[in-house]
Amino acid sequence: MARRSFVEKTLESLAGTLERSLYAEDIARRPGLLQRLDPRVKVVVLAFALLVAASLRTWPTQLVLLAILVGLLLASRLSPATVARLLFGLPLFSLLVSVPALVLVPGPPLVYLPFGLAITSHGVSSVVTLLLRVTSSLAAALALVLTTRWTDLLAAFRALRIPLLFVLVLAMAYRYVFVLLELLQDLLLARRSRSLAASRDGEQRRWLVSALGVLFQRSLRTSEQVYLAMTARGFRGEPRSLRPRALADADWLALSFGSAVCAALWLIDLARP
Amino acid sequence: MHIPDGYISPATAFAYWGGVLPFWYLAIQRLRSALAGRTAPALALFSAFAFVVMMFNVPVPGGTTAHAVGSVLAAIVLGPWAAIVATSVALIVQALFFGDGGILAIGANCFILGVAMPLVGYGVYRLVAGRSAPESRRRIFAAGLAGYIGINVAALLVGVTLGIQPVFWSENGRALYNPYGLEVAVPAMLIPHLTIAGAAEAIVTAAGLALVRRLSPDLLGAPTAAALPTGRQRRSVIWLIAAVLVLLTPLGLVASGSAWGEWSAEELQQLVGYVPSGLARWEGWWRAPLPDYSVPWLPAEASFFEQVLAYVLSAVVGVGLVSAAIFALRLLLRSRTPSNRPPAPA
Repeated sequence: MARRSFVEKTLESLAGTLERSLYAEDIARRPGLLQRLDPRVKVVVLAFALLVAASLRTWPTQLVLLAILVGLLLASRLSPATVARLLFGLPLFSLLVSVPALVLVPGPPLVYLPFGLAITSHGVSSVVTLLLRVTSSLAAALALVLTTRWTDLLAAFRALRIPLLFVLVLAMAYRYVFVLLELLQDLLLARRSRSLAASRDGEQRRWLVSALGVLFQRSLRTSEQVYLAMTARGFRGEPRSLRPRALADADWLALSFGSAVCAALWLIDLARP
Repeated sequence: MHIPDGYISPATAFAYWGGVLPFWYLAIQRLRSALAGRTAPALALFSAFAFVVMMFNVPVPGGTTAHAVGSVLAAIVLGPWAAIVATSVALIVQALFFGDGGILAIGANCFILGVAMPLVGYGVYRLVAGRSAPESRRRIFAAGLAGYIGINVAALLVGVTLGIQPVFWSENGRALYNPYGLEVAVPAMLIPHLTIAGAAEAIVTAAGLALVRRLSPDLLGAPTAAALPTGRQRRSVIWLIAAVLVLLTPLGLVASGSAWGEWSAEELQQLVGYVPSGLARWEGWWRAPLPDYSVPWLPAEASFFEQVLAYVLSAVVGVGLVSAAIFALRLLLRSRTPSNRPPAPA
């Protein structure tokens, strides 16, 4: 098979990025358990869960946390197949990365391998701990990000007193990422449709530089235009936002119950010898 | 190079958050005055650009492709402060929306790729470019070298961050986080970056600068673009680089095997020969109600059943405390903003 050019590879990653963001918006619109909760509550509780996921030391508590998080994802109208696909991608990579640790971590040998190597029990438990930890961290992050629309998430950040300028930049950056991605996609498609054979690396690099420069100039020009448009609409350096609504009873319940479950898991884990 | 969640301990993650927050604060203060009302759209577009640059698959010698980070280019063209914010926001968007890098690890990723890499790269660029003319070839070479060194410093930092995890956080010989020590993690990060990714970054940085210079020379010479630092800015850049170096020095201690920063009073006595009086006074002033997270009155030879009871008890205590705190919070907020208030008129 001929090696694929950088144009193909970049186009592929662009398409993947766009698809994933559309998919996330789609899930966030479905009626599900987590979608119904206030984004502020989700940010707080799932951040706590993330912290607990990073702190647990024993596998039973890790498994319980993972089971709870997977349950939440399923209750939020994600199909089991999707959950499995999302949750096994990164951990699979982690598994590949951590496989040598089976042998490299010193400890009592469990299985003897050729060349005087041995899989150690400490190696096995290190790999299992890492995998469970990565999977439940990922599940907590997905539960927050997939079930919350971007605008709601930003409003939650603002309500949690994250500086305005930062939230504003984040909001606008997210929007313009797609403008620039589209531009890049057009550039790459145009290039691909005009080429008959694979070009040499040097030529590819030269083309890449001009694409980079076009993007850069375009972003500079766009930022000027966006600023003028904002000024025309009355922007004076301090954007105004609508006051966030008060938390409903279900949100308080979720905040209380969710934090309590995380705290309980953490304490049980710490109390274990 | 983005660190996912689960590979580093919460303590490491928080240390990096602590490291990155002052830089964010300074950068935003600095940019607010430099760009006035234009700050938000300009920063947003630059970080969208940084995001897109990270998607470019750059063909590098040897027949493969690698993706660059582009934060050194941003630092050279836009100035180090804008580079810090633009790269950080791009990384945050990646972490939140595309699962690239962990959420708890945002502090670490932003510090390494968004602060250390552009600052080191910028320092190298200034050093090598010297007082050469803006159109000289030396500046292009300086930019390429800056990109190369910048990304390798970042790779080294990631390697060290991952490598110290088993030193600090192991239990009974079992690693709790990334299982590889420095002797594996550092070469694993550095070898691909010294060869492939470093080349990609050098290409993007040098070529990007060459193109910006040809197409928008005003950006590199104009005083409005905050590209060339003034005397005061230059001094602060030197201070920043010094601060980064100071922050990095503990890593050298760690490499030699001592658990840096976690000494008890006795260990300090051994290490430096005396116990700081403040430490001696404060050590142990707080007695945890559940020492070592077990119930204090539990006998040492407690049966399995009693131990289970102890866990459950401590869990119940924790649940009660959390619930009480949240209900108190609710009562506090209720009295001020009743939820049945009609919505404010638009």
